[in-house]
Amino acid sequence: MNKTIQFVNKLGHVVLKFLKSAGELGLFAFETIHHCVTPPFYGKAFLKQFIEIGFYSLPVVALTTLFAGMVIALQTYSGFSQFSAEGAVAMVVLVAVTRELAPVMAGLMVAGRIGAAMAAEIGTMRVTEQIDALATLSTNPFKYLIVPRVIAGILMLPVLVLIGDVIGICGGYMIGISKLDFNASTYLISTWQYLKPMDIISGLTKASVFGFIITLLGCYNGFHSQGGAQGVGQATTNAVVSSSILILIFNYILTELFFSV
Amino acid sequence: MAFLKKTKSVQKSKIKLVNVKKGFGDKKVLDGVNLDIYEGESVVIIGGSGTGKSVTLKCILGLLNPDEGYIEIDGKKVNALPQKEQEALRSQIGMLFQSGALFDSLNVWENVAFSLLQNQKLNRDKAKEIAIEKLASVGLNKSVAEVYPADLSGGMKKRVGLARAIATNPAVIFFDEPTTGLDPIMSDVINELIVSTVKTLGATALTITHDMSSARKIADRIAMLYEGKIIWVGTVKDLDKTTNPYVRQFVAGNANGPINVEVKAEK
Repeated sequence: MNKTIQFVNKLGHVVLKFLKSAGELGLFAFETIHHCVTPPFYGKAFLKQFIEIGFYSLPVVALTTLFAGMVIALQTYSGFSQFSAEGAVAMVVLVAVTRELAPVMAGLMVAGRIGAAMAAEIGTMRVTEQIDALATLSTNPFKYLIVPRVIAGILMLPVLVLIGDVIGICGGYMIGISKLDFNASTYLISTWQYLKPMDIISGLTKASVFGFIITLLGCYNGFHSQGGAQGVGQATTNAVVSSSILILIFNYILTELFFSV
Repeated sequence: MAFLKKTKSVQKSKIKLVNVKKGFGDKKVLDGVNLDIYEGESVVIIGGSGTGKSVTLKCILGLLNPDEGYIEIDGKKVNALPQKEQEALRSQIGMLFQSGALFDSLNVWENVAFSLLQNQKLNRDKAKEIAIEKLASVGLNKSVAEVYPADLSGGMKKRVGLARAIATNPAVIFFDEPTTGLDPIMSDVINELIVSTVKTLGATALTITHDMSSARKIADRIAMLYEGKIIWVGTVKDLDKTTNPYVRQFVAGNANGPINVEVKAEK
């Protein structure tokens, strides 16, 4: 009996803790959005984040989408050739890359690269009182630290994904013509033929949402970190794990919204 | 607080704490703090570690909200003000943090000129000129202006922190443990800098510290915080004459006395 009560007690604590964190995150998101639309804006801080997220993430996103495009061409060919449907390779590469692979791959890569860095940087600023120092210098930490990162995430992830789309499709094309003996112009024509704006738009919308999730969770975890080096480490782990899981969950939800019949 | 009224009844309160209470979870940190800080004076709050000195300072700055009671700066209740006015009020406050809290992504002069660049929107050349002037006033020369905080020693970080705190010529300056972690000579240098900058600016100063030689040097009046309350206020002269056993124990640095320091782990 005692053990049952203990178990229920612990379960209750876990549920309460989860609800508390969810509520706090909700309030944090609300405050962030509020500050996104009210001046002042710190132009230089924006520019720095645009470069950090948009430019410096380019190599990882390019590499991952390139190989994703290449592997999807190989796999589709080996599967579809059993039904003599090799002609669909270009279309499958196109749909897979633009709808799913580019946004999800870019999202996960940027979560690891940018989300972690944001949580670590803001977390260190928190534990070394730099965030309090900002407030004493009449600078709202939300406006100076969080808004530029979140806006840059929302705007730059779609740019990265658009570039990733092109590189991923090129990856498929390279494998198609070099390894699978497709005719170059036929491959390109069928890619062009099946290109639908909705595939691209859905991928870019996903990218924006993922950008918001990554930067919001990176900032939230850093902003609320406590307890020195260990706390900052914990914040970084939480930022990457929670944003990666949320990216996959929201990927499903958005796919359902865009393409459910 | 009869002793305050007796000596300072005609002076105007710059900062007023009235029955300020603040707790975290089950732990009561501040349990009804009452204190008046008059315009142009330098008050030092002394007290052991964990007695709520930093929490008091953060409540005054509006970084923490008191659970009960209120704080006034220039007659305005800090915590009741809308965010914008709170920020405006903070613009007349400078603060030197215990660890310096310099922004490590910016170099020394950008740190010092932060508020000038971000809020007063001065152009970079003008802001740099003022920053170098402020650095000179804390005894640092031009060559450190381009250095990043990570490359500075503890004493230099404190000086840069001080230069940043006074960059906008604030009316109120807070010092959070200004001498902690410094050698005795550097401590004295920082103390003298604090005295001279406060005097030059004509600012009201509030310092929290447990370093008694620093307190004696900086303070016009000293207040002692114990178990979340101000238990004694007086001038440096009063400090040596007081019969208050808590103050005497703290000033003498005795392990034995009414103040109990927990050295055993809690069971």
